[in-house]
Amino acid sequence: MKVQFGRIIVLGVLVGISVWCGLAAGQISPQQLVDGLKNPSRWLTYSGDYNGQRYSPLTQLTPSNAQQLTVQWAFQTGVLGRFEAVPVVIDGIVYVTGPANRAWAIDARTGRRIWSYQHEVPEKPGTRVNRGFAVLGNKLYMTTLDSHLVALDMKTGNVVWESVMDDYKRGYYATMAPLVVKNEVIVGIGGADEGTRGFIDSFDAETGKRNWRFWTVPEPGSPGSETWTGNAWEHGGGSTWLTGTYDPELNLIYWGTGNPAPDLLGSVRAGDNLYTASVVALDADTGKLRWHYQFTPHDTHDWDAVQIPVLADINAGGARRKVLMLANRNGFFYTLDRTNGKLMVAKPFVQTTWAKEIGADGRPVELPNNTPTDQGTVTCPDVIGGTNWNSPAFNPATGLFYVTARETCATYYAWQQDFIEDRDFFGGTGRNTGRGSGAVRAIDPLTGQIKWESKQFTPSMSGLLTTASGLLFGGDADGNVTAYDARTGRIVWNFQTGSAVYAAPVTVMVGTKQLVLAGSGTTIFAFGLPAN
Amino acid sequence: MLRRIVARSLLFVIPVTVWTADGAAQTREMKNPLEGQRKAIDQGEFVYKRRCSNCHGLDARGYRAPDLTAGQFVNGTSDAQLYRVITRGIPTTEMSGTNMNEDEVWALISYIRTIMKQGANEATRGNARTGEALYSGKGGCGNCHMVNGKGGRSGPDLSRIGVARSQMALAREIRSASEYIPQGYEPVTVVMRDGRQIKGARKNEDSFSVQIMDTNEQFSTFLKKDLRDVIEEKKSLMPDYGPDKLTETELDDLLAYLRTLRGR
Repeated sequence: MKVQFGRIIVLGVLVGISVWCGLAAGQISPQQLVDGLKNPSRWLTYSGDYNGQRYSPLTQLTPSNAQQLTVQWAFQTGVLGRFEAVPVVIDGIVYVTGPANRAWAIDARTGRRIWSYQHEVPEKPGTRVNRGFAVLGNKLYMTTLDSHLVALDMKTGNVVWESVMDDYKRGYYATMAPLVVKNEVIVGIGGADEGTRGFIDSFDAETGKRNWRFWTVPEPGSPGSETWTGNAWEHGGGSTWLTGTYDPELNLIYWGTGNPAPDLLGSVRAGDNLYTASVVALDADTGKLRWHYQFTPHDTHDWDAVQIPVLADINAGGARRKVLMLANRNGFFYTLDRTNGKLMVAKPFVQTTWAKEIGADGRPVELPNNTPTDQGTVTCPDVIGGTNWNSPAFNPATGLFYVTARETCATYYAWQQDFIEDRDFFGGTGRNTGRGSGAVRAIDPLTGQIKWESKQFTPSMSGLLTTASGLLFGGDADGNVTAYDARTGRIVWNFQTGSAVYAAPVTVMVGTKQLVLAGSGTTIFAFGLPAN
Repeated sequence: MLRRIVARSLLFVIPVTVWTADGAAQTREMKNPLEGQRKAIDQGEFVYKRRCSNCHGLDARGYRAPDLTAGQFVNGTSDAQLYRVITRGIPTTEMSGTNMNEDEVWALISYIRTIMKQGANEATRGNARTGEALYSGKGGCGNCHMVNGKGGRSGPDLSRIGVARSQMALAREIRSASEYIPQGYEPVTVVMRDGRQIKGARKNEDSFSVQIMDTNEQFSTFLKKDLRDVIEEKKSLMPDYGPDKLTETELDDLLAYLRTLRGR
C-alpha cells in the first residue's frame, strides 16, 4: 500500500510538472535548454549547450571503434547552395534548415522527410544560406534572407507567427540560428558589407513582439559614439550574423559583432569604431550592455568577430575562472574573464603579420604597413581570416579548445567609395597571395599554446564537435568528414562526402544507436556503427 | 521611393522577358538604361574592382583574362551581349556567371564602356604562318597543348587562347611559365615510401589523396598514407621560353599565331 501511495505521489508530481510547464510530450522548456545535452536524444540549440562548447557526453563512439562508422542514411535536400545549418534533434526527429529559406523535419531513424517548409526568397539575395533552427515549447524559430524571424509549428511546419527584424531592401539579411533564452528569441543580423548598422534583437517567443534591441554601433551621444567620426556610424556595419552563447548563472548573453563599414576603407571612419569586431556581454532580460571587448579596434581587413564565444569554467592559477574563449578571424586566440571582459590570454593560432602581440591592456600592438591602399598591402591572415563562422569546440576532459584554422595571406586594396543603399560597401578588396593551407588545431586556453595540429590541404571553414569519449569530429573544404582522437589529433576515421563540409556535425542517440549528423553539398549524412 | 521600386522592377523584368521569349534574336534589343550616367559608371568601377579585376587586372588590360580596354570580345559588344556574358558566363572557359543585381550589371557595363574607349587594339607585329610553324616545330608546343583536337593533354587546351588572353599576358606566360600555373596543371612530385618519384600535373588533391596526370598522360591516384611526400613544385611543367629559346621576333610570330586561335 505504501508503495502504491509512493507511485501515486510520483505520478502526481510528474503530472504537476507537466501541467506547470504547460508542455506536451516532445515540447521543450526553458530549463531543458539550460540542461542542454544532458538528454542524450536531443540537440536543442545551435551549439548543443548554451556554453557553445559542442561537447557531447555520449560515449558509444570512441577513438577505438570510430573506424567502423558507416552511413546509416542520407537525406537529399535537392536545394543548391552551401549547406551550413546545424540540425536540432528532438526525440528521433531532425529539424533542419537549408539554403534558400528552406526547412525540413526528418525521421532520425530512416532519413525520411516528415514535412518541409519554404519562406519566400528575395530577388537576387546576396547569400542563400541558413544556419539552423532554435526551439522552445512546440515552436521552431528560423531567420530568413529577407530579415524576418519565423516561428513554425514543430508538428506541421506551418507558420505560427512572423516578425520583421528590419528592411531587407536596405541591405539587411539574416542567416543565423536564433538563440532562445527563457521566453525570448534572440537574433542577429547580416549586412555590414552593404553598409547597414548592426543590432541584436529580442522577440517574445510566444507572440513575436520585439522586447529590446541593442545597436552594435551607438548613435551620437551614446557611450562608444566617440569612437566614430562624422556620420560614419549610420552605415557603420557591426553585423551580428552568428549565434551567441549564454551563461544562465550570470544571466548574460555573449555575442560576437562584425566588421565596421566600409570594410577596408578605414579613413572615413577614424577611431576604434565600437562595438564592431568585438564581443558584447548583454543582460539577457534587457539587452543592456554589461561589458565589451574589442578584438580588432578600427578593423580594416573585414575581420568580423562573430565567431562563437565558447564559455567554460576552468582552473587557472589555482582558482576556478569563468572564461570566454574565442578564436578570432584576425588570427589570435583569446581567453577572457567572462564576468568582466578582461583579457587573460591572447596568442596567435595562425600566421599573423598585422600585430606583434596583444598587449596587457588588451589592445593589439600593431605592425606598420598593414593598412589597405590603392596599391595593395600584403597582410596575413586573408579576408576570410584565421578562422571564420565555423564552430570551434572545447572538451573539458582534455582541457583543449579546437578550431579549424586557415593559413592564408592576401593583398588588401582600399579605395574611396560612396554609400549606396543595398549595395556593396566594401571600400576595397582582398586577393589571396597563394593557395594557403589549413589545419585543425588544439589550443590550451590557459596559455594559448598549440598542443597538436592535423594539417588540411585546403583552407577550410568546417565546424567541430567533441565528445566525452575523446573524439573530435570535423570536416574540410574538400568534402571530408573526419574523426580525430581529441587528445592527440590522430585521424581515426574519414569519409569523403563529395562536397565541402561547413556546418559542425552534431551527435545524438536515436534509439540505442549514437548517430553523427553532418551536412555536405545538398545532403545530410547520418553516420553510426553497423548493426552488429 | 515608389518610383525607385518601379524603376527597379522594370530592370528586373525586361531582360528576363526578352530572354525567355526567343534567345539571341531578341537579346539584341536590350539596352543599358544606365548608359553614360556618371553615378552608374562610378558604381560600375567598384563592381569591376571587386569582382572582375582579379582576372582582368586592376587596369583591365588582362592579367589572365581578355584585355577589356581593347574593346573586342568574341561574344559581342552590344549591351545585350555583354549583359549575357556577365550574368551567365561563358561555358567551358574561366569566365563564370554572377548573381549580381541587374542594375549592378548595367552599372558595370557602363563602366566597361568607358575603359573600352580608352584602349587601343593590340597591334599584331608577327607573322601568324611562321608562328604556327614555330608552334608545331621548334617550340614543340603541340606536344603538351591541344588546338582544335590535335596535340597533347599535359598543358591547357589553347583552342581559344587568342580571345582568352591579352598579348601581354600570353607573352608573360610564355617567357615565365611558372609565374601563373592554371589550376589542374600545377606540377607535383609524388614520393613513394620506397623513394620512387612520379611527376605529373595535379588534377585534384585533399588531405587524404592526390590525383595526377603523369607525363605519359596517364591518371594515377595515390593515398597519402602510402606516400612519403607530395612535393608542390615551383617550376611549371612548361619550360620558360626565354630569349635564348625564342627570339623577340619568334615570340611575335608565335603570338600572332596564338591570336588566330579563337575557338571553333
